[in-house]
Amino acid sequence: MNAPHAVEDAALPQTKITLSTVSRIIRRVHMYTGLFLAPWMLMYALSTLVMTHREYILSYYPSKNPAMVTERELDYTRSFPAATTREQIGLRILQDLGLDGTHSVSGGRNGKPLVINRQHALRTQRVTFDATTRKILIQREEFRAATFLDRLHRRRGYNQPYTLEDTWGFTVDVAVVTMVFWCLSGIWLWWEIKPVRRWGALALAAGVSLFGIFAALI
Amino acid sequence: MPTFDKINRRTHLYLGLFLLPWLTMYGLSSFIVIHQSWFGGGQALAWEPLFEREYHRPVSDTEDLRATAQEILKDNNLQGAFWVDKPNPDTVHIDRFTFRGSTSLNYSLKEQKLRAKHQRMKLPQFVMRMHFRGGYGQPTFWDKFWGFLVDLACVTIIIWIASGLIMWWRLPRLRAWGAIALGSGILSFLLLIWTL
Repeated sequence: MNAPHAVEDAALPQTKITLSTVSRIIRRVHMYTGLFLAPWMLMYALSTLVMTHREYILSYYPSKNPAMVTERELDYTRSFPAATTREQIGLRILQDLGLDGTHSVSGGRNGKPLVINRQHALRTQRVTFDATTRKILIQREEFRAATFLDRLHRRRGYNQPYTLEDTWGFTVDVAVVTMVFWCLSGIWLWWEIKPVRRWGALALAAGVSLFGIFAALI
Repeated sequence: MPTFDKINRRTHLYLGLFLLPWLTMYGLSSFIVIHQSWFGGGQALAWEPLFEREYHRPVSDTEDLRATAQEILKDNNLQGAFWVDKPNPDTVHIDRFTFRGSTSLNYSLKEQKLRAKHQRMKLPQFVMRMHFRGGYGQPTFWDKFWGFLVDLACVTIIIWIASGLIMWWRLPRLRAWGAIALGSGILSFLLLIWTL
């Protein structure tokens, strides 16, 4: 039963079979990476719209920034040697609270409270340490979709010594490299479909020309 | 009469080809932004003096600063996208920027002098500037048109996702592996943002 097919395959040149295999691989990789990275692409598209139309998006909210809601207040009796930097103090406090992770530190000088922003992806947690009263105030930011998207877009990873942060950075790297792959593989996939070569060439030429005009003009 | 499938496929294809330069730019520029130190991010670019000349334009505190800056740029044949601020009561500072460089103008109200200097971008900075440029809020047609195309790129990404999902689902043999790819992508993304 297989003999006619075997004869046909044998009649095809080896290069054509190889090209067909390469083409299929390119198609599959284009598709599967698209499916896997769809959440990242959706996030980048929505967050860019938020950033480019910030005033309009903000008009839907009652305040410029999300409100901070107090979670709890507690005594904090740990003392620190005089030479301890505020970054070290911030890290120690977060570890004592079981909140270690990506964060930034401000204040803590000239008698002012130390403010630690624990930068969760969903919403920021603010830990304020007042060394004079030896109290810690923990607040959580109210969730706001626009703020969440904006921050996630800007989150690059790699800049703090946490595995999760590096993991995020790696996924962003994969996403951006794959974007370039989609462009290159897209050209390959387009060229394979002869009936669309002409209109595709027009679309490509129009896009490239327009982009070149922008690069030169603005 | 073309079928929905064909329209879906052609839309995905032609939008992809037209916006290919933007997608390539966003991919490359994002990589440069994340790894700036690999591309000389810490190095300051040189400023070249352009001119220093007498300039007389009254600037009132009530007048719109952007309107004033636009007039200053027009007087000096430097119209285009810009930012403006007053670092001190005596000085109007304008940053006239393009993808390729920046011209910094400082108008001293006390001295009645206008000083300008220019900074040329290297390729990594050129590409990064494209990434960060929004477009709206700047005076020229081409700036606004750029803003529109950024919007179009964002909407098109959503169209690519939707049309891509439809194309995948129309291939029954690939549904299982596709579902695994899609499911694992969604799970990974959600897990990361929940734990970060």
